[in-house]
Amino acid sequence: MNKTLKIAHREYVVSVRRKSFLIGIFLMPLFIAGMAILPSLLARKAMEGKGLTKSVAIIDLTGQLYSDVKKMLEEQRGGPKYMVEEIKATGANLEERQTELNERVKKKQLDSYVVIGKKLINSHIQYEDSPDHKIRCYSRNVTDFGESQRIQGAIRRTIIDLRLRDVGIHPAITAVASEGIYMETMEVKKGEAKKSQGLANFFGAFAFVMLLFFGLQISGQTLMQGVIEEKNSRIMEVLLSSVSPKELMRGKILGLGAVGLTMMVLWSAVGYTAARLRNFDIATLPNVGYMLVFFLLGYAFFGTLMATVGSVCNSEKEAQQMMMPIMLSLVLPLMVWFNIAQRPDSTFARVLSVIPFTVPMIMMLRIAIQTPPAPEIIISIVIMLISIHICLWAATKVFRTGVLMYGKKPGLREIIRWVKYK
Amino acid sequence: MSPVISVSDVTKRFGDVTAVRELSFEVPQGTIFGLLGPNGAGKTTTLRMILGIFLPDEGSISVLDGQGVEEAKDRIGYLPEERGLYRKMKVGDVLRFFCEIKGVGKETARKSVNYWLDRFGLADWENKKVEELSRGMQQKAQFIATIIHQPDLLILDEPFSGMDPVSTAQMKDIVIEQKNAGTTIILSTHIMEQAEKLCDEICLINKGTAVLKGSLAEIKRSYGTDSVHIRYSGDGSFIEQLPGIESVDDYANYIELKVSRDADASALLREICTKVAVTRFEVVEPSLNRIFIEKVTQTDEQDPQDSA
Repeated sequence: MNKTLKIAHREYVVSVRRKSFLIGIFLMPLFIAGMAILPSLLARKAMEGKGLTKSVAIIDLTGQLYSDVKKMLEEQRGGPKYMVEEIKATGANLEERQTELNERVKKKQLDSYVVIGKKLINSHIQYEDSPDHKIRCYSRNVTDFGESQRIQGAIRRTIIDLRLRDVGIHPAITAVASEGIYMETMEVKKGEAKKSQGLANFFGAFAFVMLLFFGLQISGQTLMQGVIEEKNSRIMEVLLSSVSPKELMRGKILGLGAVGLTMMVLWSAVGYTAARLRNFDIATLPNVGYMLVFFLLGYAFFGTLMATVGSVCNSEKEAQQMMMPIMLSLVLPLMVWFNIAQRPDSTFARVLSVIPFTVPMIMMLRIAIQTPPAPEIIISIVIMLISIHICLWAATKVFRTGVLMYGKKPGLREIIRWVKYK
Repeated sequence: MSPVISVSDVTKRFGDVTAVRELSFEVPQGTIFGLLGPNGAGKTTTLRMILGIFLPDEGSISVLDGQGVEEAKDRIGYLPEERGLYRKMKVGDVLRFFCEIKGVGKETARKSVNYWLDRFGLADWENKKVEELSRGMQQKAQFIATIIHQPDLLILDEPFSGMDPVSTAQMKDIVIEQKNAGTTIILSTHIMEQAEKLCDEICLINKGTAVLKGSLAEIKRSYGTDSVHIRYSGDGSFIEQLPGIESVDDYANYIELKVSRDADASALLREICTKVAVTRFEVVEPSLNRIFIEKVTQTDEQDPQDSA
């Protein structure tokens, strides 16, 4: 066994025995599951509003809609139970009434209130962009889409019924006429149409990106901490009297890479099994394979950078500052994933697919959403390989000087000079 | 016999600071070579260059028959001044690891670790974590890590610092034993009493340059027997003023005088006896410590702008 492998072997054995590793291995899947399931569970509950009681006040300036709207809201099935009350107001004292209602909403005596504009019923004949032609809903929580949809729906139905009755059509006909019209989206993949799992795929792709992010972040951070620790405990010198800086650095990167890969494989196995059980199409073996490949490429790249940062710093605190740009480039894909997931073929997505800092996560996302043409994947992998090669070469130079420097942290110019040393 | 190490005209700079300047010396096979000098003289930098951790800016270093630095590493044992072991690892695992990265096979490493742990009385600690060991025990473990692969060249940087007398004696015995077995040893220290007892050859460096080098015996001989050790009781402050006394080093238990070459030692003894009770009077070669202080102050004076 050569020395690089000896170093790697020690790193691996020590790391996988560490408590934090075991905890990470088991807690992470729970965390991911929690992240994936909890928000949607909570959101659905909130959307449906089952078992809740909502109090709504209505100011009906048309004077014709209130009783029907109240009935419709109260008879609605599935949603929350509504307590509806009418507030009488005229144009003159509307403002005063609203001030009172605002106060009640603030005191949580009321969930929301609605002002129905006085010209709303005939707004299909003559429309103006003014409160008179609109429904205004005032609520503590304006992001509760389910809630506003239900209220809007009740008022719409009431008005539609009214307008149709005006032209002589019985409301029962409207009810029948609007029944049973639903749309289903189908996904065309590899020339075959399949029932779309739109949202599931969307978030599934995000799960891949998140896994990559955590894998890269944890492995890179561990590597950096390891270097700083060896530097501080002065083990560096003993090591360097036995192995070359190149062997030491590569051994460490290799060993912790193997640890990271172990972690990723375990997580993927858990994720894959769980997704298969729920029939998520996105969890395919090729996708998992791509993720592992991009993990290794990303790790070799970011890991090398982080090991270098560790080698020039004396403490983790000092390192945080230099880590900022690296961390930002790791986080960037998480910030733009939504955009990329919607338009995986955009120029923006393509540009990010050739920048080594963003390749792993962006390419993974694109592959999961809508596999790009093979040449694009190959180009991104080649770019990674070249970047890793350059990075390793420069890092070895900085590393050999950096690890034995104590005291003042070198500036960027100083570090560049180290690269030029023979 | 060709020297184990030859350092020729080596210069090493760190930014604006020249740590080592045009340094040359040779370490003969099978000797204990003392690399001496005050703190900050450039000793550790020189050792690191010998180990190939640093590369010299100018000059060349040949180690162990001119082998490549990386190949030579397997035959060198290095005890750095700043000690460090993996604190969270078990003692046995750490030692086996350090042995194996020197290219020693698994089985040989295991046996070697057992042998040395046993010898230092640490056998019961093999499966304990390093951080559970006392400081003294950690020092021993570090020393074991240095010699465990039976190196041909041992480089010890301040090996006895922070050690109690019993451990120091134990380590000293092993150093001598290694020397007798043919190992070449470089001992870097600023404690002259140790160097005086152990070294065959020395190189004294100050501010990165060699100020004195050669065999210890010859160096001392060249200084002649111009030193007098006196132990006495009473107030000896008058001694400094006596004629023919060039300098006085007070070691609390005794004083070392440097006398001029034409001074008469017996006249001096008679003079001193009249004022204080003398229990020891000896004409000797100067101690290495005195030579050291003399040389270092001398070079500091010659080079005043450097000492600023």
